[in-house]
Amino acid sequence: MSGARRKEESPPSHPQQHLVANGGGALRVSVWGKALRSDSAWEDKDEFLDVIYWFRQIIAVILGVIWGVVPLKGFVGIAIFCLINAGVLYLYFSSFQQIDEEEYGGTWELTKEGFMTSFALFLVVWIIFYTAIHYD
Amino acid sequence: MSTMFADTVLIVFISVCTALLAEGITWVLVYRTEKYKRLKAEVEKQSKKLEKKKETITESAGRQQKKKIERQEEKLKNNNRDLSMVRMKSMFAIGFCFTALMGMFNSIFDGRVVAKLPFIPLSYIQGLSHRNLLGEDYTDCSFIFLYILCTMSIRQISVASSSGGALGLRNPYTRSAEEMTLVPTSSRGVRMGLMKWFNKRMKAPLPQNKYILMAQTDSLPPSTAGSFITSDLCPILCKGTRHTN
Repeated sequence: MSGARRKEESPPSHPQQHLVANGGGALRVSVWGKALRSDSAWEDKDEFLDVIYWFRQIIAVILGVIWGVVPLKGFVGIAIFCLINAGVLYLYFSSFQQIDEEEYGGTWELTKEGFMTSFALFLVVWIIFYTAIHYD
Repeated sequence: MSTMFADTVLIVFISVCTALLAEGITWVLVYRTEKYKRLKAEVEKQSKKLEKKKETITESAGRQQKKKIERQEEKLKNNNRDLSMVRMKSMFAIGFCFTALMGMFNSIFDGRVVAKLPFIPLSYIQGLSHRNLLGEDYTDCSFIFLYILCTMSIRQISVASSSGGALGLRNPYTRSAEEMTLVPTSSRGVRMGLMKWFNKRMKAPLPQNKYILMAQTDSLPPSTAGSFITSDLCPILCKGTRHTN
């Protein structure tokens, strides 16, 4: 995974120096660097919830493209999307990051973080690709 | 590129533009005013102070401390109310603009199939997805359904981006302030619900874990869809008739 590559690229310590050098850009890199490293420490809970939110949107776009291209039709497509979306993120925060769900209000809070937005985005991307490829 | 796909892309583009327009109007009428900046800073400062105080308070804390916290909560409540008054202007302006815009787009796309749905929507959603379309093929998508979906995703994402991720929307104190300012009329229902809950809750002692507190509120996105549909689109949805053969 690119997390390993990120470890090689960025210095092992002195994140403050990175901040001074690059300002906000380096701060964003370190958040995503943490997101791609397993068992990272998340002092700021909102930061981790943001990562969950954006990962959901990325999954929605990817699945929308795949579902539209294949094509996968019907409510089966929606059901599989929900399962994959919830399942992948669950594995991410419970196994990969190994966070304590209670600190974030429980598994349900983490599961619903950004879910509806990602669902709407998935539908939009799915519809666009399906219309473009199969009804053009 | 076929006409249908061109319409699909155009609707996504319209959705992005209207989201930007809403943010633009809100910026002109609200964000750049001194009063709003002052109130927002005040609300954020007070809510951070209050959270810190709640984290350090113990069961055996004196009446003095509890009274102090209640006074701070009252102050925060008042500032939030003032913030909502400041936003009133932009809400009216956005509502007016969007009613006009939606009327125009509805007449432009009236009766046009703008996309094909890869699924057949549930019967109560068909009223939206097949609105003003001829025939019984419910995989035909009307303008309004695609527009709603685009707006639900694009507005939320633009809110999340502009607030530095979804930060600020989760703190129960600043959440109501942020919602009122960063999220335009589409989440009015959530905002009002949150304000009511907020006012009610301020009388009771807050739990130590703010995330447990937040779990007691409605989550933003589902309510956003509902309130968007009722508050933004109700005038448009009530008009217009279904074509029949």
